[in-house]
Amino acid sequence: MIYLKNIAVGFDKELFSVNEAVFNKGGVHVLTGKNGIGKSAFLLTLAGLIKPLKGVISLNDKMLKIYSSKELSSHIAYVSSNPKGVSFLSVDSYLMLGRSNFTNIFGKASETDIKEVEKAKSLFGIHHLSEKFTNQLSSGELQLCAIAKAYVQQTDYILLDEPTSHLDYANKRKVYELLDVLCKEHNKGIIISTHDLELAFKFPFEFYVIQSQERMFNEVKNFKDVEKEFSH
Amino acid sequence: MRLIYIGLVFFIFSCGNSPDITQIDDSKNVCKYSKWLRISESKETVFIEIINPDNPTEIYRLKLPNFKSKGGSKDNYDIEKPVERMAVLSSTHIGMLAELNMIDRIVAVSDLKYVFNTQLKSQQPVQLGEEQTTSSERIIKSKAELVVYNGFSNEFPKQELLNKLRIKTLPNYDWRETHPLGRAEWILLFGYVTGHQDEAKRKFEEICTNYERIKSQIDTMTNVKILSGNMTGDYWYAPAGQSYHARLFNDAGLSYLFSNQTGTGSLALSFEKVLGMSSDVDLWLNPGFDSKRKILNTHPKSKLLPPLNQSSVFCYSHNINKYWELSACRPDLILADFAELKKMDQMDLNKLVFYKMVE
Amino acid sequence: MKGIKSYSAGLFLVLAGIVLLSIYGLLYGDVDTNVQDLYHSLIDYSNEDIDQVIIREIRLPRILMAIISGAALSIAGMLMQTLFQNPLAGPYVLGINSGSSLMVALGLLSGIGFFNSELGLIGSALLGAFVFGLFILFTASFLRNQISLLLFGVMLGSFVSSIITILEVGSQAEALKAFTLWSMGSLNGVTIEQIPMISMVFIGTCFLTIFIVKPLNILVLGEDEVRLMGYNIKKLRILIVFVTAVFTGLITAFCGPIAFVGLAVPNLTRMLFRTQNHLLLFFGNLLFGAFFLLSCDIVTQLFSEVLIIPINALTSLIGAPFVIYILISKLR
Repeated sequence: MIYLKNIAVGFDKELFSVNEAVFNKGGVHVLTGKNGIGKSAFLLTLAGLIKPLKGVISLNDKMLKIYSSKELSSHIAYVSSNPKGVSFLSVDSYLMLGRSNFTNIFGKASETDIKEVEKAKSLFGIHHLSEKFTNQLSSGELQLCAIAKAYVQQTDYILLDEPTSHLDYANKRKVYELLDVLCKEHNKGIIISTHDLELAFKFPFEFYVIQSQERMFNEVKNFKDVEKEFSH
Repeated sequence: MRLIYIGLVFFIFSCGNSPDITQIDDSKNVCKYSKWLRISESKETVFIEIINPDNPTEIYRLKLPNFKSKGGSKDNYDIEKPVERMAVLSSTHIGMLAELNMIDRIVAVSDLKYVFNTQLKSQQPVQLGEEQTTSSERIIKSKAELVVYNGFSNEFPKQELLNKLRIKTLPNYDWRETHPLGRAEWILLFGYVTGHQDEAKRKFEEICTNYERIKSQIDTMTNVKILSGNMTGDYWYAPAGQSYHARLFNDAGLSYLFSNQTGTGSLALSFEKVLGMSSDVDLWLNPGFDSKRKILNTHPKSKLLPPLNQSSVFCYSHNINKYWELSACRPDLILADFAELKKMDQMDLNKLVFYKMVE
Repeated sequence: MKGIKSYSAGLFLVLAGIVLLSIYGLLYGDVDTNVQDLYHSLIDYSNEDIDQVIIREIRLPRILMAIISGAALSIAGMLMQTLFQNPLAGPYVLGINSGSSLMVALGLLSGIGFFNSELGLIGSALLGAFVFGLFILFTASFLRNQISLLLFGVMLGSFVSSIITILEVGSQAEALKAFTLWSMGSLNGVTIEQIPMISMVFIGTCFLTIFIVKPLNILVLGEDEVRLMGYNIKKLRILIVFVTAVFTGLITAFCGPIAFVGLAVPNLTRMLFRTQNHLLLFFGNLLFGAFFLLSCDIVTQLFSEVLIIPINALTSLIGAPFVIYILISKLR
């Protein structure tokens, strides 16, 4: 469980605050809000890449900041909104980097690692991209691969920043379906930010809004509440 | 037939009009050994020709009155009076003027720290710096009438300006002469421009006689092998077979390791090659340092050279200013040193003028 | 990770090439030597035989130094290019080499006794490389733009050059000559007695490098990824700079600056191996770098009778057009 209390989120200036929030495993938590409100900053804070300006975050009843980078990487995976493609880095190698916590000191993959990567490729339908270099992929293909990479990391929590922004409708749907499966069948805690709200609401996810006027983080129950936020 | 006549006429015509390289005939040339200096003297006039070794058609000509005779019309002379104030840019020039007792005529030099002559040092001449960056202001301030330079590059900086101010500039190619006596012969140049040509001629005669005498007295039976030069960076630089130094070695009856390598300049050899050739060398001359420690500091691998450990090493670096000043005009003294060194175990170290053992 | 076999084959080929070139370089030179001389010079060396002396004291250190320098500079270049995520990074371009040069210049031109000693020279080259490396690292946190960082490196290099010029003008003739010769770069200055120490430092630093190949693999994706995968990016950065400084400083101290090896070879290795696996790239750079510099050295020796080509001129002659080619293909 990820627990937040009296949090202020921001890079150096406060963007918004959170009174109290709980993110459990076994659920997909969707962050919504206007552009620039701080959704990315929030995910970065949860991932431990930036510090909250105020307050304490705890993971499994232990303060987030006490975790070492290594420990944290075994609990939380993060996918940025604009994954980077690198020349001469094949998709296979890219995915294997997600297995860093399992591969040996030189990065050599074991049978298990290879199996997991194969599984991910099937799951995300990116098998045909195995040999391609990541800088040769389209932004949508790269995004799928990035999510797959987070998947092979086998963490309890996966944080994704706008994971469907570059995808076509079919793939958007597929991703949401996959995330649903991951939370239901694998008991993962998924936290995503997205603008594809109409599609997202078709799934039994939990929704939150970062209100621009109050600069507050709040849970919402239905689409209408979200619309309210965007109408003013 | 007509064609032949026309051809002949053209032929004769073109012969007659061929560009003359030198106007001073060999028979009239006072200089016997030098290649780049030619002087002709008649009762009234003296002609001096300085030939550019890199471009022999480029000749610097000087016309001056024969200062010995009082007369001589006011012909358009390049130098009208005997030169009283000179700026000289090379140590060799200082040495030659010293031989003629005319140090007092030097008003400017390149750099005082390279001067050996004590009289000159006490005169506190103006310092002009390196040849290519001489300050023309300082030349003018020194009130020099004549500037003698080396000719490292084709033009002396601000030459036209100086000439306009009636300061003459002359290149001195003594350093390009490969014949030891030819190099010394440039003393005549200083003699003629100052009106002391008789003394210069007499001095030069003396030097030549000395030189020939020492040369003839050298024992040709003994064979002394010598190595010359040293490593600079990755290569060993040594005088080539027809160079000035090689000729001195040869005249001294020393068997120089690289005497069969053609050329008048320097050789660049790999260290390996020198190492392979130097096993039975008797003497190592001119390493360019005055101590073995300095030789090894600069190039540690020199410790592998047999001559460093087994032979005697001699150089002039302990008093390098003296060597650079006097060596050009006194090849007889160098030859004497070499003759002494050739005696090996019987050599008298006290007799050496320029050379000293490197330890 | 397919194709390991083809990588191994390629690497073995290059290794064989290095061995063959080395033997050639040991046997051939201005002085004729034969295989017996080679055997004796290595196995039962006697310093009486001039042929053995030539092989062991002149050719052997030069060839070993070519191998070590080529390898070290290439690995350093690989590290720089990954750290700064820029294929145009190199110990020269970014100015790490300027640090060594400045310290060596201070040592040789200022006339202070300690620096003139062998230990002082090496120490100052290493220190200079490390300090400048940290400085560039620090600057990189401000100058996010890759081009800006490269320009900064170039400016730093110019700045150091000016200081060195001033030092040169005020120095004694002998010191100036020593420094000028040093700055031309040469593989000939190393003695056989120094080789064991140099080799040990090189091998030690190689081991250090091998143990960070995994975070290096992740680093190509960016510094955030490194943190997300559980590594301390601050320590990693400093470690990379340290390793680069040792490789660069070590070679610069003994050979003077040698250009383009650290810039061109890592790019070549990446292009040939088509991978970002830093373990493979490490061995690739080690062998390609060694082979490249050794070849340049042999070529220099072959031509020395006809034309003296300083080693730096040759590496630049080959390296510069290659780098231009990379630039152009990158811009497309």
